[in-house]
Amino acid sequence: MSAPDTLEREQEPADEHLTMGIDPWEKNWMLVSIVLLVVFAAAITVAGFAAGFQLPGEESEVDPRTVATEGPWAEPGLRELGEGRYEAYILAQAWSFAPRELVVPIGAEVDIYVTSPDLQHGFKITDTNVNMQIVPGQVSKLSFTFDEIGEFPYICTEYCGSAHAAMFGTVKVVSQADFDAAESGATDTSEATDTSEATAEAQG
Amino acid sequence: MTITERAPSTVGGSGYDLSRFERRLIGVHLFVAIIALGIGSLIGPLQTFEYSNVNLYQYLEPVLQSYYQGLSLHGVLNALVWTTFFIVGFTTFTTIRGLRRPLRHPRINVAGFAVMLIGLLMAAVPLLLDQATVLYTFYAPLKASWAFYVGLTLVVVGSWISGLGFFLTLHAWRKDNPGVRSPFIALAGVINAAMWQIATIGIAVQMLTMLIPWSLGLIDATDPQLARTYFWFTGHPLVYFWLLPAYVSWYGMLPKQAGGKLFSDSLARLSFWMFLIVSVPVGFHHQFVDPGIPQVWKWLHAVLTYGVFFPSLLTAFTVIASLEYAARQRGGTGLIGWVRALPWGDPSVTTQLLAGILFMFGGISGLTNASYNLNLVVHNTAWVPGHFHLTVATAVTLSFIGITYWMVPHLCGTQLWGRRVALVQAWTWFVGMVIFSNAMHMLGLLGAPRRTPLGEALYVPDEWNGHLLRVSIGGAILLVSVILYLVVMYKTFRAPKVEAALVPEVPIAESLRHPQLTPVWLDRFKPWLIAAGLLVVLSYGPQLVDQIMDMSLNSPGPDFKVW
Amino acid sequence: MSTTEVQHDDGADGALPEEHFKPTGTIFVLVLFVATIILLWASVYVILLSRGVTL
Repeated sequence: MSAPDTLEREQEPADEHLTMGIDPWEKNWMLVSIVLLVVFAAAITVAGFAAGFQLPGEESEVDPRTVATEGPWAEPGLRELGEGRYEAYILAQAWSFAPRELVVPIGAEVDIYVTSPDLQHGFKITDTNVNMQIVPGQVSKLSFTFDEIGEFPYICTEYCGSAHAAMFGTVKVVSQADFDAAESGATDTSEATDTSEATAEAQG
Repeated sequence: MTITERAPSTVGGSGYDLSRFERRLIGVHLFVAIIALGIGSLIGPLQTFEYSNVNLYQYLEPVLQSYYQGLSLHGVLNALVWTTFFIVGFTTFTTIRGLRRPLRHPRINVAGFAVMLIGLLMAAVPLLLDQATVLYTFYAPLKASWAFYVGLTLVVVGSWISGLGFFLTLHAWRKDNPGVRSPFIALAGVINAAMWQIATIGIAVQMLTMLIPWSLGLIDATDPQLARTYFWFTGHPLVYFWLLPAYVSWYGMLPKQAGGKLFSDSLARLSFWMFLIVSVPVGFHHQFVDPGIPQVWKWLHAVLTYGVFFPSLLTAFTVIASLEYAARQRGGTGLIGWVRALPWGDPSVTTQLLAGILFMFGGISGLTNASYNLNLVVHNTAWVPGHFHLTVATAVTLSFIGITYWMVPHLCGTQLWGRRVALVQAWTWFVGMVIFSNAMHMLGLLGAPRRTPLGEALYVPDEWNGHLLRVSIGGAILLVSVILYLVVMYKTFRAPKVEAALVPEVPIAESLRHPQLTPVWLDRFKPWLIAAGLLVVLSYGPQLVDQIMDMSLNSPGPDFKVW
Repeated sequence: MSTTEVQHDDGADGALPEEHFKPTGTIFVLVLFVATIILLWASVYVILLSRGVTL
């Protein structure tokens, strides 16, 4: 029942007549595999380039040695761009985010810019598709619209040293009324930062 | 059924067996590999227990300072040391035994081992001294001791030297056997070595131009983005370097062990050649959420990653069909009932069957990772270690364990100690990994970060707790499995020598169709190497040029030790 | 059900040594595999779609 050890040369077909000898069912399987992969590729391409479920791309570069003291990350936080449109500058550093809390009104469309002055970090907002690698020297950017009231932690998802597990912040999505009240209530961002710092320490 | 042992194509017919020297050379590779796996895998469960707030690290000082030092050791020892030493040893075996001829230049292979060993020892010192707690990805500007970088570089260089030894041996065989198809297991091992040589150019450049000079103080700072691109140039083909030796066994050996034959020689070869050309140009799928890389390049690598999924789907068919053939030869019947007819009593077979089953699921989560925007859901989450514990830690590692179940007694001239113990080892690995990995995937979908001691994290919602506990339970079961494996290996090594006829044979599967009927283009290196080079240039060239031209070494990292 | 599609060629009659065997069980396993791939992959796709656009 075993194939012969050797094949006599005269039995062997000429090279150009050799075939792969593929089983017809295996051929069908190859077709199924290709169709499956093509369909998946189409689905991710449409979602990414037509429907807006897009990855971070090439944004801009910064000097990590000065980024914490000069430019937009020197004063991290949320800024209004126009009606319902905002930009957020977030500095990821060992081992905290600045700011630690981002209060946004519901429906806000926020361009989120994150960079790091020291090590690589991660920035993932729980329950959203915002997920970025933070690399010193590079600006990571995604835009997101916050459509649901609630608290959404942003967690450092890249190892950055001994207190990595303590590194997180929170997006608070509030009603427009609460947001306006907080704005006019002269609560500046540094105070909000202090509060969440105290909370984090109390929990630790 | 006759159980005779022969190479797939024994034209030339010599019955050359390993020399005493070659046995020893392979043996020392396996020895280092198994020690690394033992230490690395004993640390793994500590991480899983931490998830349930049981932090055993505090009792292990001063041996292990932290969760992260443990995690660094776990990753380096298991993913880099165990795999590389096993693979080089196993490929030495398949080259010699596949070709039935001695190594052409044994000194080259001895030199390869020596360089790898020196590298390992160099890297081990800072790792153990907590001077290289940078995890096995060592992302700049986390700064380890220079000895860690130099050591890892030497391990890679040593594997290159050994790879050259394999290639020269195959080349010599081909000169002696013109017109004969190279025996599959030997050819496949050399294809893997060739792929590895191309793939490791990335990490070599990263080490030599950036990390080593930086750690020695010759340059002040790094470009972390470029370092990542170099790293992942090597980082993804690395997983195929691990996987392909398991495929060598699944295609070329397991069918024999199961009592059957390789279903398709030509498709087995085709899938290895496909891995040679598409393993490398896919690295950006690890950098989907990176800044500094345009989306179109990420998309291209996503599509190419789908391309590298294809030979694995092909492998699924060929390997399962080979097993089904074996099972039916053994009297198996039914649409699925034939599976029971496989030799589940043989631990070497059981390990590899279970490894294959979990690999099907690992493949699915890997396909998800590679799917461009789907990666946003899972990137840097616990899903990722959940995934690669199905692939490298099960498909690869459990298969390698299965290979040692015949290869170690074969090399030692003994018999496997404790067949039943080894079976329990196989099943506990399977069950432990199912529980662990499923929980990790779920945690990832909920947003839990990877490589983080979640037991001490401040943001863990109650919703995660059940999964965290299951991670620990899986880890505990895996701990049992690792201990059983180490016991079996030790006892087998120390077992009394038996006469040659009682020593496990080398399982080399014949193919259903004679390999000489396989087209010649499936036996030639040149066209595939050219295709591999072209694809690397097209998929990486423009971005590499762009990032290198744009390089700014301005990231020195913190001026204090961060761990 | 019995599947005895394995036919042997003894290779003694001078014909090329090929054996024909229809891998019905393999096809069955792979159909299940493809169904699982689609199910699990699509479930993550749905999660992606439910978590909002990032552009």
